[in-house]
Amino acid sequence: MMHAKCWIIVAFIVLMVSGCGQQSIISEDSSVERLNSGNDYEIEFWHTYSDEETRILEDILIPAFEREHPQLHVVPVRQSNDPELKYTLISKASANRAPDVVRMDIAWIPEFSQSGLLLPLSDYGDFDDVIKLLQSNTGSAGYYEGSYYSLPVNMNTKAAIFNKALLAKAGLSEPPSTFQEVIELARKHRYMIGLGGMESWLSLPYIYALGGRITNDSYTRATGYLNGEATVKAVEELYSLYEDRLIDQSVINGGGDNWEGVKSGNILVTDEGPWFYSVLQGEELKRAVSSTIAVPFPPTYGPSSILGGEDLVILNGSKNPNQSWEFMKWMVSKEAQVAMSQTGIIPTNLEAKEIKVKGESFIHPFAEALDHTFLRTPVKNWSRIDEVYTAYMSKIFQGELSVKHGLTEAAAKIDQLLEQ
Amino acid sequence: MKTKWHIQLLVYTLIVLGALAFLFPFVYMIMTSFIKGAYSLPRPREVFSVIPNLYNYQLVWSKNNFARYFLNSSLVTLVSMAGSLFLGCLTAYGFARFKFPGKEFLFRTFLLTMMIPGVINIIPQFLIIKSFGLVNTYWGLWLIYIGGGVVGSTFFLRGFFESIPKEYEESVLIDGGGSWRIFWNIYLPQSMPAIATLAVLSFQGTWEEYFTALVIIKDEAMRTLPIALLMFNDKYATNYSWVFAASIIALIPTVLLYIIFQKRFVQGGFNEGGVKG
Repeated sequence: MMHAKCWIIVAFIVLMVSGCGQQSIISEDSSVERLNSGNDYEIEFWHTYSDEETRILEDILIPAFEREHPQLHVVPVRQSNDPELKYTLISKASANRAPDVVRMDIAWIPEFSQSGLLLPLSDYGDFDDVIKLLQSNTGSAGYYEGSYYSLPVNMNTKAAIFNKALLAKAGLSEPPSTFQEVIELARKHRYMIGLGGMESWLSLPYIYALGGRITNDSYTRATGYLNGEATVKAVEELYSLYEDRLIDQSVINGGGDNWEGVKSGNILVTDEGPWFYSVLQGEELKRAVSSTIAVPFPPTYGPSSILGGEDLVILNGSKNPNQSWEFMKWMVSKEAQVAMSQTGIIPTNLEAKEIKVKGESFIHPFAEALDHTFLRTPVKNWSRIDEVYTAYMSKIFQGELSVKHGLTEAAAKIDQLLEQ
Repeated sequence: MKTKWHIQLLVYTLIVLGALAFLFPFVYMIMTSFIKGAYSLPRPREVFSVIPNLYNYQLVWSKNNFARYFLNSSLVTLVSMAGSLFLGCLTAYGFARFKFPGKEFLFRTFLLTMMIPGVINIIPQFLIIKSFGLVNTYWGLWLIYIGGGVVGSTFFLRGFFESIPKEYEESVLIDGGGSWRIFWNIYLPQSMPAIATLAVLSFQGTWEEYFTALVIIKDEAMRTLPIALLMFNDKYATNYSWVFAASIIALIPTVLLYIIFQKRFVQGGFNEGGVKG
């Protein structure tokens, strides 16, 4: 009998305590209208900033913005950077339930803008004044049919990073001025080239530096370009280095440890972004800086530095697009960009970029390379084109197809994707 | 008959080699977590010359909301584990010992739900949770985890309960005990090895669960540990020392639970000698 009473008391306490869990009888607090708050707006901002960058965003940038705009409140949501994020954003924007502002990879922008998932930013009266303050070539990814759909917030590219000791051993004080000479040097001294993989982000800088191209300048045709004489020659050059074991045999399966290779002198040159230096600290940074020299990929045949980075966009279904635009303008302002550049990323704001370049010596070659960049084909189907390109490059390197044959097949498939 | 020494040697060599093959990646992971800044997977020479230290462990604990997500995961997992075990035991007891119409049909329906891959369930589950107003709450997550866990526990425990001799029940009934007494004092203690195994499985399943948590939880502060682990994968340069240090911290609770319940797995013969003849 006593036991039964105990159980009843326990059950009663549990029920009463569970009632304390919900402090309010209103289930969706944010949707309730309030007196004297008619002008308050909430901006939901999705981003993929790293841990350190998120701290700057949440502790410095957003509070400063909210001080200037007391009615606007930014709710930052950090997301992990993976393809799933892209599909989540596409489905949310399609259903008009997207966050207001998103910081997304520059390579995703054409797919979003050309699918009608972004709001045109050039419709805002002050757009031209804002874009004037930013590095001009970075905005081109967001351009589509007469409108701009994105605002570049940070940019990067990859430079050719050489091992100083191997250059000195060959009697050179600085890297050769063309990539053809780099290959000749590698052949002569049997130095390794640190090509990291077959994907466009990894292999295109080499191919562009050797004169290759994926499409024509208006991004409408691949046949005659990807399988054109210059590209075939460039890929044949790389393939013969691979056959001669001057490119690591693991390149088809994701590549070897090029970072350590170029620092220790096992590799003559590799391609990497500013993070090659900026993620390191203390002795490790000193070692990287003293053992290597970074230069832009030689623009012998036109720009050969691949443009990367992130842009800010307003997705379809944003509840507060005008307020979102205010926030985006703040994010590319000099003050915000200088603060964020402490983490190692390169600002798109020209003044902030100057300050960054002066502050850190290793940024200089990357800043220089950023003046001569090429875009990964800015079309809706870019991710599928990249898949086709990677698959055929792998087949060529595995010896399944000849260079000419493989590139011609790839170009035909890419043409179909360009037409869609 | 005694096994010949060279056959024994061969068997032991194979066992040792097998154990090494399984252990090597784990040891490699532990050793890599001691290296400062491994931005590509380090070579064996570097890995095996490193001096063990807790530098990366201290660092990752304060990064990417790791500590917060660790506590969130602990709360989610412990409640789910307790809930699914308790309800699973009760349901299994019902199926094992009571007769009611449609019992086998119901049990088979239970089993049928186990055959459906979790990913297929995610949309209907989300819609149900949404109609309850439980999106972005742990209640929503617990409902799915416990609901999913009960089915497996029931299936696993029913057979175990059925193997317990009915004579025990009769002795309780003679002494004036009811069904609850039989369940609590006979079935649960007798089934500890099975329950301990289930506890580890349930804990591990929920602790590592990523997809449902990502769908149901929207609030950044309420996310669980697998999401924090994912945040260590940087877009441009991933520090594998941090990834591995974080993964090892995430592994510790599962390993601890296994060690705690390990004795229970091998302990048998609870009910031996309890029944005459």
